[in-house]
Amino acid sequence: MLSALSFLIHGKNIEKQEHNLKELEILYSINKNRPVRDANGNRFTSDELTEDLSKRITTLNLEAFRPVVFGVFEKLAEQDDALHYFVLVSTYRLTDEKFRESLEDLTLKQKLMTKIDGEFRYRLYSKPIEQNNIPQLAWDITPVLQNREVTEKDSPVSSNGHSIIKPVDEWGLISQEFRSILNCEELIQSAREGQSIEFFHLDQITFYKNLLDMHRGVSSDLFQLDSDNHFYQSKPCRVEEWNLTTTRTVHQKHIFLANQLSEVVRHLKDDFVFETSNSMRLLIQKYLIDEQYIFSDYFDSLLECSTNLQYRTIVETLPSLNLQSTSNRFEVCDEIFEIVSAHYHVIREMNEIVRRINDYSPIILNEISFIGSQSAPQFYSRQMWRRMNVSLIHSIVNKLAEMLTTPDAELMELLTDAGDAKMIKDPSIWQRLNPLTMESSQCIDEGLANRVADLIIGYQFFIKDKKNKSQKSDESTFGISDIQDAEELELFAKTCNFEKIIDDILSDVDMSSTDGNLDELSTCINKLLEQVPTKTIVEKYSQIVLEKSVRFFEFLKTFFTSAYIHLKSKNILSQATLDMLEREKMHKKGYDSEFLKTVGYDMKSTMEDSLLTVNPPEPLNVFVTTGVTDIYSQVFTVLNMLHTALDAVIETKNSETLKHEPRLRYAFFHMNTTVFAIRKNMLSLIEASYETFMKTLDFKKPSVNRSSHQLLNVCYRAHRKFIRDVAGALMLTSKRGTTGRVIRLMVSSVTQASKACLSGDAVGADRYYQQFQTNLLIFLDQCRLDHTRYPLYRSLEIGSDEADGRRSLNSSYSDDLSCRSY
Amino acid sequence: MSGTGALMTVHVGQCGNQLAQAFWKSMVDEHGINERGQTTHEDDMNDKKDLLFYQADDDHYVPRAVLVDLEPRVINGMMQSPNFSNLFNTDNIFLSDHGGGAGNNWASGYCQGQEVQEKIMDIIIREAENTDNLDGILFTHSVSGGTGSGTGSLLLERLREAFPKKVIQTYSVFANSDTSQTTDVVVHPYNWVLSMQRLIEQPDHVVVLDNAALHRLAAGKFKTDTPTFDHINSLVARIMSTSTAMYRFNSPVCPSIRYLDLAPFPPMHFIQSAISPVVDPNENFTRKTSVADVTRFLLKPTSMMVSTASRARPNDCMLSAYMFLQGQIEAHTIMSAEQNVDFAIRRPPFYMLKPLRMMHAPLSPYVRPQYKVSGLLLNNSTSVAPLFESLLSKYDKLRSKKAFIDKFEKIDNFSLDMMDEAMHIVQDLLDEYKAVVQKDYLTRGL
Repeated sequence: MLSALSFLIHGKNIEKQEHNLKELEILYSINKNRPVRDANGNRFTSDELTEDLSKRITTLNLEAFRPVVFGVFEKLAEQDDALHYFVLVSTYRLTDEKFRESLEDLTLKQKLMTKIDGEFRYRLYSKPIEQNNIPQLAWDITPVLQNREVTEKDSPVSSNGHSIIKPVDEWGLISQEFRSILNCEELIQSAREGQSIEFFHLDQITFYKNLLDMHRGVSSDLFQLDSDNHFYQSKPCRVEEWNLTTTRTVHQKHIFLANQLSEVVRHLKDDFVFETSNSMRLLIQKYLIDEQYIFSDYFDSLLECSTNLQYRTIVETLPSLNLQSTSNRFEVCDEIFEIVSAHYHVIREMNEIVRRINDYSPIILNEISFIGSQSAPQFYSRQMWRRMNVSLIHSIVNKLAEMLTTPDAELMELLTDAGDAKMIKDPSIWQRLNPLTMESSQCIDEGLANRVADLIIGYQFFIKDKKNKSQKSDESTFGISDIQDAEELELFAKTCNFEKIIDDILSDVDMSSTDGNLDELSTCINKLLEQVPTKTIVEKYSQIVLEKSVRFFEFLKTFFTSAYIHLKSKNILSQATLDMLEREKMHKKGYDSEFLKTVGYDMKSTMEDSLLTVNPPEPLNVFVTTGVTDIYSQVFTVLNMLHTALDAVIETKNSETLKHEPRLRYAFFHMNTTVFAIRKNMLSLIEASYETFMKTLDFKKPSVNRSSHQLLNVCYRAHRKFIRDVAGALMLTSKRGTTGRVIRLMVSSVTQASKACLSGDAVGADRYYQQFQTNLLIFLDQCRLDHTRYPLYRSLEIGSDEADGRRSLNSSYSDDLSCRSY
Repeated sequence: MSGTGALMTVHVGQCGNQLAQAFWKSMVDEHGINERGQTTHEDDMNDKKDLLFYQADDDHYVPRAVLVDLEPRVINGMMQSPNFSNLFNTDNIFLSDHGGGAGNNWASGYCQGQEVQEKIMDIIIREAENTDNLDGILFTHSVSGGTGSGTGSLLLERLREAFPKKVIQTYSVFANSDTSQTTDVVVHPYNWVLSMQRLIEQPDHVVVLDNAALHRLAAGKFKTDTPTFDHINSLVARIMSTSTAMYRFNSPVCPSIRYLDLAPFPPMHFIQSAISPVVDPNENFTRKTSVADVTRFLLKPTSMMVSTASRARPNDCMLSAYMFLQGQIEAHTIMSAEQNVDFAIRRPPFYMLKPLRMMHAPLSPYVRPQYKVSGLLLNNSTSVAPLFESLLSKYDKLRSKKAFIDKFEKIDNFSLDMMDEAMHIVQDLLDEYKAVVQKDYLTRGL
């Protein structure tokens, strides 16, 4: 027995065997006395001690050593009950540090454990060193064997029954013990109230449970709801060793917070709607409900009553609080408070948002939630914002996907009506037609937002146009394939394949990742645009519109610069003559019959020189605003007036009046050359602008590799410039309308001179010629204001040259033109 | 009257019909019409085929042309060529029954014409009435032979009578040769004087085509020492084609021949022409043309296609001129060119205006142009007078010797008074040319 005991404690270390007898004595004492007792003085059995050790190993975080320790005990239990009990008690008495140190040290020495990177690991299949079936201990119990204290019985704790307490000591004074009882808070309170008081004395777990329940809006014995649904503490309470005051202090701020939270939650419930057209509202409602569940699940998980948590994945990412530990109860309470407060603040924000939901667009909400997820002070609220952010990204992407593939999607959820294209910076061609914009934010830059908005509007126009065209089968604007494209896209959007694409895109947004990226939304949208074939369709459509636009411009230019030539009546246009334009089958004259229909007569116009209107079908109408039409109309009128004058002069050519009047002949020649030159200059300037315009529109050049859609914008700007140039060519810009009036005066004197001439009134003709000259001078005065174009008209100046009619003194035709630069 | 009307062509005599051949060949090409009158290209919106063609019931295009000759050789030859056999309306062809021609005698042509004029006028009037809106008649003939000058003169009289308000523009081939090599007609000065009277009195514009100058140009530019009529006619066809391009290809600047105001002081309506560049079509064209050098060339007095161009006098004045530039030209190039050439032009002293109008004439959308820039100048200048003086002096020489006068005298209904009258009228024209360069032209006689 002696050697077995010695081997057990010291192994084969012979030197220490001198204490053998003493140890044997202790062995006997321990087995005899069973010194480890509970509060009532009951002895611990070996099983109870084993259980205690097991807990101790867990608490000391020595799980790795469990197989070694229990291997030894199992062996001992098999071999020798006395030894087994002795070791249990000795180990029980051993301090935690000594136990840990010796265990770590000896197990390594005995090669039962390995230490890798500071971490202890059990060596598989290793067994304790044994001698005669007695194992050597893998930890050192010698420190407790130094004296006999180990064998001393634990004294039972005296119960505090009233009978035991002695209120007065032997000196007749109130005893120490009694004094402390009298000092006790509960007693004082009871004395103050004059009656006995009831209070809860809760253990830690129950306390936490009640606390967490309250935050979840669940009442308990401790925290009850009053008639206003406010929590209050039903009875005084103390938790473990906390006294009533401490507990109350802790409770107070929790109750306050819980009431705030429940207030907000109640508000939310009141505002809750089941049906609304505002999908953002629905989204936030769903989010709020989910958040409530997460909040609740989280507390369940903390209380370890989590059998089936709905949001386990989310909850697991949240910090776990050790509710068991007694040492840091204040800390845990504070942490709970922090979490609830974080939850409360986010919920309160949401409540505000729900109340004014119409002020928030998904994009703004997304930005808010992104900022929240980055900058909220508590981890919990950052997580909440992050979840909001993710669900918004999902929602936005889904909505966009719908808008880009479905003809009747609700656009206004993401797009806003700017009212006028002028309000949009750098609007695209589609935005000019339908001034919708998408908001930009930190998360989605303006360029992308515009691109998306633009694509959506473009797609809508395509659909609209397609529908119109499919009703009229004679139009060949759309190839069959385009219509098929659109329909296929619509069908495609309803397949699971499409859903998969969207899911793939969204799978990049990791809900559980704690920090989102600023460009997450942009990335998703960009991916969506890449994956959805709408871009190609809109591009194709743009191509068609582009080609049509170029034809349209050509038509506008030819029509307004030459259509008057084909008019039979030279009078100012009227509805009748315009109808005639069509009836006369102007398209036979080369005008596009499709566009010819778009030219109309402005019945309301009071200005004589803006009588024509152009109303092309969408989307071509983007090019002809009222201002533009006005200029085209004025081009028509001014050129028509000049043409009329020219016609009148020509009529006089064979007139008898001129036969013997070389002066009048010259006068008419002068009028002819002047009117001809003005008209030719105007036409040439328009032509020059048109050439520049068409050069800009020459998209077939290989160097141009922009999308048709971008080209449409180029087209728009080029046309605007063309119109400005045309207005300049007709000098409509400098003094609006003045040129028209001067020309009208000139024209009328020319016409009257011609009439006089035809009726044989040479004097009258001459008088009108004088008038014409005066008007010409006025016209030239006006031209002089226009520095760039005046050189064209300088040659019309009357009498500016030398008397012999030339400036050069060289012979009739100068051969030295070669030295001139052109 | 407004809008853009149609043009009709009347071709008289051997020369006139040869010009018809060259002209219509280029017209069918430029308007994308094949030898059967069918279109060969998709219609271009600027191509106004109906200006010179009308559409038959089966929609094929038929030239609005009337071909007249007193002898069948040229027209028959033309009708047998695959290019034209199915193109023209055979009802529009007039060939004299006896087919002997006019024997290079104006009087013969004129008097024979009197016998058949009603038939010819019937054709012309029918053709004119088939058109909604006839603006003018292009007339090609020569003034040195018999039919073109004689019958041509008669027809001009009748045309003016029938169409007092239409523009009649003749392309008249003049023969002026000191060596008499280019013409075998010794009496051409007689024929010329007699025709000249009608050219002064009837048409609105006479484009003077001087055979000798054309020969010289062809010989100089084409790689041949003996240019054929085909060479020369191709030059004339180009003049005719370019001068009508504005109307044929829908230019709003000058939409119709009515707007051509080349003759402010009739009867000074004799138009000289110049074209640039001229190269042999079989040669590779290596020069780079530009508006500047085309303009420069066209405005040189020596570029005028009259044989007396080198005799230009310092006080010659431009009365009115149109310069048509074709090719890849930007509108502003012409505008700036126009401002620059202004200095180089001499005009009558009383002119306070600029007689030259430069414009961009459209090209056929179907034919690839030979040049980047080409041009035609139609110039009504007093510098044409020396040609008439030269021809008149030749006439005087013959007349004073009474040479070959019997050939004329023997024709019935012709008297020498007609010749003398014509001579006086030509003389008056020459006086007018002298007067117009004077300061007091407008106030003369007041």
